[in-house]
Amino acid sequence: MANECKYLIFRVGSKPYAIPASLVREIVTALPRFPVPFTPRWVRGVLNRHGEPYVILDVQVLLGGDPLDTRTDVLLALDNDQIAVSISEVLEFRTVAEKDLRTISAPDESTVYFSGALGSASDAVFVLDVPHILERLADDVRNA
Amino acid sequence: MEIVTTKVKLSYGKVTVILDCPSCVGSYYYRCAPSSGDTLFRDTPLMLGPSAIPVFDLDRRLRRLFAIDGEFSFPVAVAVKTDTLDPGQKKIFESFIGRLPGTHDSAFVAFAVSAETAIALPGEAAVKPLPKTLDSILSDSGIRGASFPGEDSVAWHLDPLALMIRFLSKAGTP
Repeated sequence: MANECKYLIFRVGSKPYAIPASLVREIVTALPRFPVPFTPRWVRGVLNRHGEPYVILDVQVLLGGDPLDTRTDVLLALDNDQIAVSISEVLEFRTVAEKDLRTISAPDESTVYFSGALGSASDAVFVLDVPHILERLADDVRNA
Repeated sequence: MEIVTTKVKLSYGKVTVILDCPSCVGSYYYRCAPSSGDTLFRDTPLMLGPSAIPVFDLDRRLRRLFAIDGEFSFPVAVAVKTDTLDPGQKKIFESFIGRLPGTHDSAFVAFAVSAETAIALPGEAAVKPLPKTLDSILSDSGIRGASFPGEDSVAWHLDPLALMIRFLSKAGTP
């Protein structure tokens, strides 16, 4: 249906987040992880999916928290990169009307990595801004 | 000493490291306990004929970089010629080995490892182009790429000279 978008809603620690379902290639569990040297703390290593390396990002650390204790990762469907995001668990796929995606009018440090929010202010689910997160990663790598 | 270009395969259980050694002289049995401090070079050189070759403690670095634990204890030093270093890199290298006990031959450096060691067969775990982010993380690090020989293993391909220079540069003047 026009003007709707499907999102994957997942939990990272105690908080729910979302990404557009179009960015989800696969959800994997219990794949071996290998540390990658010379990376910022929120890069948790690399995983091997059918011979292809995916860099694993820990959003909880990026947002100022402790490393996430999990074995579940969302592999992102990106045109020119192979990135995985660690999550605690999948909650649901949710279809949302475009008008119900709230924009963040004045992003601050706590919301700068989100492109918007789903739901009401009291139970908001923030949508991860993947391009912005990858820009931050590129900056951190340059400065490592 | 005869110079060859070779790839040395180090097996640490599920982690394999393939050293892409430019100007390799060879691999030699080398038993010397790591220095007690967190030093980059071992105290005891590798003696090859009249040459006392400085020994970079690559084993300690690899174990930290790739979270390798366990005992893989066949001690080897892989000796390579340093003629591929540019003048700036050579100066950094010489400033470090000038502080080592005794006199060391700066024309060579050896890399101490203690893995199961073999010559990598041609085509074995061929390195693949890395995806964008991983490539930028590893650029200029000395790590040239990765391959995945199986679902639960990884092989890192690296240039030991470039990796050593990264560590020496980060450490600054000794």
